[in-house]
Amino acid sequence: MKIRKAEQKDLKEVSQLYEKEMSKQFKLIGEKPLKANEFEKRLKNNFKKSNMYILDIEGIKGFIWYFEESNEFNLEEIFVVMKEKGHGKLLINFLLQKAKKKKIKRINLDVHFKNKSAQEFFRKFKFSERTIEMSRDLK
Amino acid sequence: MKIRKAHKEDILSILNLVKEFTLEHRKISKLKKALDIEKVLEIRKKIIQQEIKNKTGIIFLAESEKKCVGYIFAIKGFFYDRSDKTKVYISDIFVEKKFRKKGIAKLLISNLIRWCKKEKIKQIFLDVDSNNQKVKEFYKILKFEEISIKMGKTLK
Repeated sequence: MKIRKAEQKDLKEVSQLYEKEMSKQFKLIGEKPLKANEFEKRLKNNFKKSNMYILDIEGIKGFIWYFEESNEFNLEEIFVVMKEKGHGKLLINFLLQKAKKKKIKRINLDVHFKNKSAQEFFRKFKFSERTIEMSRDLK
Repeated sequence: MKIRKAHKEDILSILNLVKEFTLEHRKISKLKKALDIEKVLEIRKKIIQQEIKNKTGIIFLAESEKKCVGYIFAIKGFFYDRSDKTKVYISDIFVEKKFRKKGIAKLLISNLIRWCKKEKIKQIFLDVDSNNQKVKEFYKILKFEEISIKMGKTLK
């Protein structure tokens, strides 16, 4: 088992896993995640300016993606293939270690308003609510 | 009361309001370690001037007897994806204490919405302090919906 830097050639598989895993999560709250090809495009666009790591246990079992900006980490995405195995915790601890090494002051992240289980997950690691993002669609 | 687009020449009036906005926001969100206010204003001045010059940002001012008493500052694009020009983010909205409860903030937002429609923008975003129920209700009346929670962890 290892957490390794993602390579360009991983991005396709990561994106397919993202759509598969996120569809399950989002279904519970009546939403849909990005399509794999759209997600892959975002990954490619940000590959050089951000940090992407893979939880590798005989294959891709998890993924974490964050930006570093003015002494803060902004967590963009985290997901694991099999939730019950504590893999999410491995990735978060990895992130915390990275932050410590780099003397990062703060880690920020966004969770869907309705996704209570994800909010619970981050609270366990002492993340707390800061602001709520609201939006209005225009016709 | 008059609502109008801000121009380059308004920068000093805008910065006065930005200062009040920042100080009040700090009080509400109980920020302990904040940057020196003059430094913040310097940074904000650069951002505002650049956004207006590039036409990627917009400011509307509320004027009462030729004095600026409120403003809204919104920018095109979104976080790391500044290229997504179908979205606008409301960075600041503020009305001086004396002029509150007169519907000025609503006017500022409706002017922004009109501008957004002209610019073919599809979605407007903003952030509210998670414990500020009153403001959340205000935006809900204006048809904004909660979409995500921003969480954070401060490291020692």
